[in-house]
Amino acid sequence: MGLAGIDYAIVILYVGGILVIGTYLGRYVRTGKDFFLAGRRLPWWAIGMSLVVTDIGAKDVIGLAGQAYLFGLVLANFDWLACIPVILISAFIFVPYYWKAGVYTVPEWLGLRYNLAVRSIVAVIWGLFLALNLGVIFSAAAIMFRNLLGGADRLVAPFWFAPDYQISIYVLATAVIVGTYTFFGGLAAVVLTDAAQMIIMYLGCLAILIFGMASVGGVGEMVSRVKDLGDAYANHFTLFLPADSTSPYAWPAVIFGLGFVLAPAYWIGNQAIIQRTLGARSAFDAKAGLIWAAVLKVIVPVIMVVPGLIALALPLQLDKGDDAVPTLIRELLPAGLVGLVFAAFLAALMGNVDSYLNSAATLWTRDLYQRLLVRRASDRHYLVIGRSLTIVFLVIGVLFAPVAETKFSGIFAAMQTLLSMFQGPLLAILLLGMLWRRTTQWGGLAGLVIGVGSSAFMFTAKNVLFVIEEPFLYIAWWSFVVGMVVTVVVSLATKREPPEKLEGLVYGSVMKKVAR
Amino acid sequence: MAFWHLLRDAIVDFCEQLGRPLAPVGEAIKETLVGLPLIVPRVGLALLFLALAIWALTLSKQYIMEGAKRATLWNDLRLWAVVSMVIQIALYLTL
Repeated sequence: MGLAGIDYAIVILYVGGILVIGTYLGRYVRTGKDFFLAGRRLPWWAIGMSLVVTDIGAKDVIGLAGQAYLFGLVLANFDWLACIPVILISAFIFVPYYWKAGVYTVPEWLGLRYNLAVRSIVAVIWGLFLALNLGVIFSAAAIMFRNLLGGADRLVAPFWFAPDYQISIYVLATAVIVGTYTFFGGLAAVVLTDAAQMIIMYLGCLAILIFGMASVGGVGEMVSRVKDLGDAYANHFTLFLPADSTSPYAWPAVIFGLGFVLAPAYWIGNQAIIQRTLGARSAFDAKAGLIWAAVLKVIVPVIMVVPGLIALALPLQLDKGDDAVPTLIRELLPAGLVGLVFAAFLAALMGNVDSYLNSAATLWTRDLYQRLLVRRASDRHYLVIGRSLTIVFLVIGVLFAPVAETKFSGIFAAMQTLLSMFQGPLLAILLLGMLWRRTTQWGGLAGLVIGVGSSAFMFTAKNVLFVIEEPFLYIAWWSFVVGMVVTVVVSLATKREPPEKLEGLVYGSVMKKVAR
Repeated sequence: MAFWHLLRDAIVDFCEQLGRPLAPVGEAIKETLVGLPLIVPRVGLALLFLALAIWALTLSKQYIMEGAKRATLWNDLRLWAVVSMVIQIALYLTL
């Protein structure tokens, strides 16, 4: 099923509204602080809703249901285990420290706690990840457009010398829309449009869930039909897969890799996440925004994971799991609602892209350009650089999209693999840096470099070291352990940091001030 | 292109040779974890969530409310933390 006239009307109305609101907010952007941190005026409710769409994009709406189709309810761990408890820790321990330090980025905090080398390495890694992630997000969008429009995607070849290199015209259109309001409005436009995008995204996913559940005949019928498919589906309704499961989501991998490493690293060290809280109008709004996000995240598995199980119960003949949601939309939803769901996908896509775009521009401007290249330019100069980088990263993301689509079989697993390569060591130095005063700059540098090296090694030798095909959760855990051990050993072997350097940067100093 | 393929294969081969002695260690850890009943991670996580809820309640109100416009019950983030942990405990003990 393609889009009907009413669907197009809904989509155009929605996109036009977002574009007008986002661009209008550009009137209030006068300085770099306005662009990168929304002038530190963001309220908690907008921060919380923006955090949800920063975390959940179109790739997740497709990927979560797609993986649930293959592996079951265990995917709910990505929101319940991997978000809610960690968000509390981030809100009550880490974010107040970042906020009080007055930094723009996480690498900036690392630079204060450790040294310029740690700051630059993390900035380069995150900067590359954020830019490449845009490509992965756009590749998910291309699949989504193709499936929703029944294969009627239109492609353009941007380079005359490579006619086979083609990009979806809908991806290009989305990039132009998002680029426009992110370029003009900065973080304020991103966060406030995200709040609207989150509502649309939830409504669209809820529509899929309701129509899907009605079609399958209710929860009991869905469970019964899936279990009737055979022994391979016996664990499709539990959060814990056996330790010897050949899927990437056996319980030790989920608890240790996802729950103890990837999730904390994401909610404590991801620039795209933390930047929203740094733009809060008060320390309370920063904390409350995170807690609000945790509350909103409780419902995500219900509206995004369960549709994968519905697709299995119906049953739909799918080539791959990632086709589950687009097929449900085509098969079940009436005209009008297809438009709403299409708008929901666009919301998830745009909310995700604008967040990563703005954060990538902030990080590269503050931590690399301003710190390493041009240190004493005017605020206006950095504002222009930030805006220019927004365009640069958008172009990189769009150009990388066809590569990401052809090289990676499962979008979701591909993203987690990229994350697992450096999230473990990053978390190790963040935790030790904030919680242990004895951690030294050289310990942090060694832990980071050797930890990332260890994940590269494990990823390369995965056929020998692991029995499963996608061991990204195990790699995250073991690289975290390596990062911790190396940081502790090297810190103990090197000279202590002076107390004045640690003031306000380690846990305890801020708490003591408040308690007094 | 052939050079890059050769280089990639050589690196993979080198890493695999290096990783081979570690494989038995991983196998031993896996065997231990396979031997544990699923109730262990289930109850373990529930206890962890309970500990988080208790920890949140021990934080001072002054620290939690710092910067808040009003100090109402609804604004007390510790209570929201406890509610979310109770939901987590229920989910992880039943599903």
